[in-house]
Amino acid sequence: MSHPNRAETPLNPAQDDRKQERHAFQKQAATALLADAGGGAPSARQEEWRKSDARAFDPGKQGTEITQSESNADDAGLAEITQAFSGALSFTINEAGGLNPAEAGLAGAGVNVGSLFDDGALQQEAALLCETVAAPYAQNLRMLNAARAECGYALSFAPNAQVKAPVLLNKALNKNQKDDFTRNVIIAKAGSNATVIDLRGAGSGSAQNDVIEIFAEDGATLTFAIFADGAAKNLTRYRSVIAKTGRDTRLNLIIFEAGGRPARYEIHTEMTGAGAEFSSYVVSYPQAGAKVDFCQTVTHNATHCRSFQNYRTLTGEGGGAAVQSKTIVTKNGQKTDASQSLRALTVGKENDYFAKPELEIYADDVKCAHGSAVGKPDEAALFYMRSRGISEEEARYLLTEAFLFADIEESGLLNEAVIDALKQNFRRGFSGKNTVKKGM
Amino acid sequence: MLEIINLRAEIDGKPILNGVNLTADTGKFHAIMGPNGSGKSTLSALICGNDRATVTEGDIRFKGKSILTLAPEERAAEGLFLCFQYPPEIPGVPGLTFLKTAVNAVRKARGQTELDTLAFSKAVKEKAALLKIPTEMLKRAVNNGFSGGEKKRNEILQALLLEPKFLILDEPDSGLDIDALKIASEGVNLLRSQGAGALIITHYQRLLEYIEPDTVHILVKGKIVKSGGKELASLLEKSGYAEYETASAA
Repeated sequence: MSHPNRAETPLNPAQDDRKQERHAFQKQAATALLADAGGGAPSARQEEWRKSDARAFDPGKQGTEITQSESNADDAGLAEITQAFSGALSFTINEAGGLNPAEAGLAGAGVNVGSLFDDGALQQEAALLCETVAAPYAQNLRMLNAARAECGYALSFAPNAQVKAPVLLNKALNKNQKDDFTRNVIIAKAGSNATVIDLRGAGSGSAQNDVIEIFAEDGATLTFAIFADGAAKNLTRYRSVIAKTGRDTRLNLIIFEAGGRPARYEIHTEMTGAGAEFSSYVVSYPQAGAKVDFCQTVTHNATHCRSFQNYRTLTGEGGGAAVQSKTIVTKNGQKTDASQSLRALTVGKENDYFAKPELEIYADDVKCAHGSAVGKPDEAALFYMRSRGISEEEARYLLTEAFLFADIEESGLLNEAVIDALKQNFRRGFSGKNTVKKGM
Repeated sequence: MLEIINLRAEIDGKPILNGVNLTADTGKFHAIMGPNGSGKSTLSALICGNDRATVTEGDIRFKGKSILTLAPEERAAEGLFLCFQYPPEIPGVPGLTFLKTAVNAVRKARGQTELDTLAFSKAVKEKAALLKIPTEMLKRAVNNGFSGGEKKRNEILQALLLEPKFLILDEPDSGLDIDALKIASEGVNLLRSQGAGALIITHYQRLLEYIEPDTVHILVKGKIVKSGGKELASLLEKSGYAEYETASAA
């Protein structure tokens, strides 16, 4: 990636000045970029960047555009998932980057939502969190997002609000926009309980750079899910999820990602209050030239915290995946209970899978485990199913679906209708060309 | 109905079957007995389309036509059913989803109307009750965490739902206690009463008390060395295979 200071799409000083007036984090980011303080793009010599070329995320370097049919397929896939959330509270970021009026039910349910770039108490609080939560994870691509983001939401759940219906975010991408920077903040106030679903289509843009910051206060329970259909395989996605959790919180993160060129997620969670629990379920299935790259850290910085990182990856013919997950236990993290489970199914002759689960422990009374496995579909199970009259393709589909979805189904974090919609979405890709039929 | 003609097969270049000949007419039950390593399981797998062994000579014909080139699912649609000695566990695939997919795939291939959810549920409940299989068990993943007996009863349940014309029962008594053996045998005999034939592979005469064969064959070193009535099984129970192994070696 060329440095943003010299990029083909430079910062607009006037526009930037306006942002600097509004948000300290943007001022900080823009100043750092303009002063070349960040030291340029991440290099392949950095361990966490060994499987992705950071230049792919340079908005000035995007060469391939999303076709209309890809964009439509993406929209169709997401529409089906949206339907599965009947009764959801929803809001939309419109093409102009503003926030469509929230549905009437939002405020009554204890949900406060607005554009991050409007003025107000919510935005001020969110902007402050942008500094405190994300600052330790500052990195040029995220600073670029901070400096250039023009849309995004601030979403807050009132103290002790029990929001039964999921809150659904639909983002209508600007069809004329070639890159897309959004910055979003979610604040789960003490004792609140909510589920947020983030649906992202491809639009016609070829690059996305999103930052989502989450702050869960003491006793809050929050489930945050990202469903990226990925019918548009030419898209580059760079997405950061940065979370900080308080005492006795429950934070669940779910990601479904079909891949891009590439789709990279950086997920950083720090547990700062005792007794917190964090779980993440990441399901990905890159095929036919698509790639995913996940880089996750979970930091236990308080006692009696639990964490669970679960990755289920299917790499189809021509697909690639990298998973680097790390559990860090600081000296404050006594009585930690942490585990990582990284499993992959590889099919086809040409694909690439890289996994690196890590533990970094500085406390002496902890329980940590990590495991990684990669393999092919079980031939004995395939024959068994075929001997019952099930076609080879259907048998392979059932085995693959089970591999990807069993754990998230068992977790109970998503209801049956949503799981079914996600399965249908996956099946569409599975049955198409460039997918996994023979020679798995 | 099922004809095995001079069948020779090998695994990794090692001959396993050395010219098996067997003809099973419609509705007839044949038992195959033999010492360990004689090729019984390889024979059953080959009939149902498992490619773990390579056929080097001969043919397998079912309902008058060769099935050697048919895929396992095509053989199932024709009416063959293999009751596995060790049914594999398939974590994550719900038992009912698997059953419904299988039943409707076979029905479709046979030109029958596919069952809707209601009709399928009714059929499953009815057959499961015959085999004393609790509905809860069916909600679990295929064979996942099942005991040996539960797996075997699940195999017979699948057979009842798929309505095969010919069963290959590969040691259906292994892992079954007496009560479970009786129940599973009742399921097989029900299919027999509906006109199905079978090839039963077993080590013990006990099974043949519940599922009575019309003919018993002794397979030694990949070849049938003797055939006879059900009394042959009783004889084997007393004398073992030594006589036949010696004769085969000579």
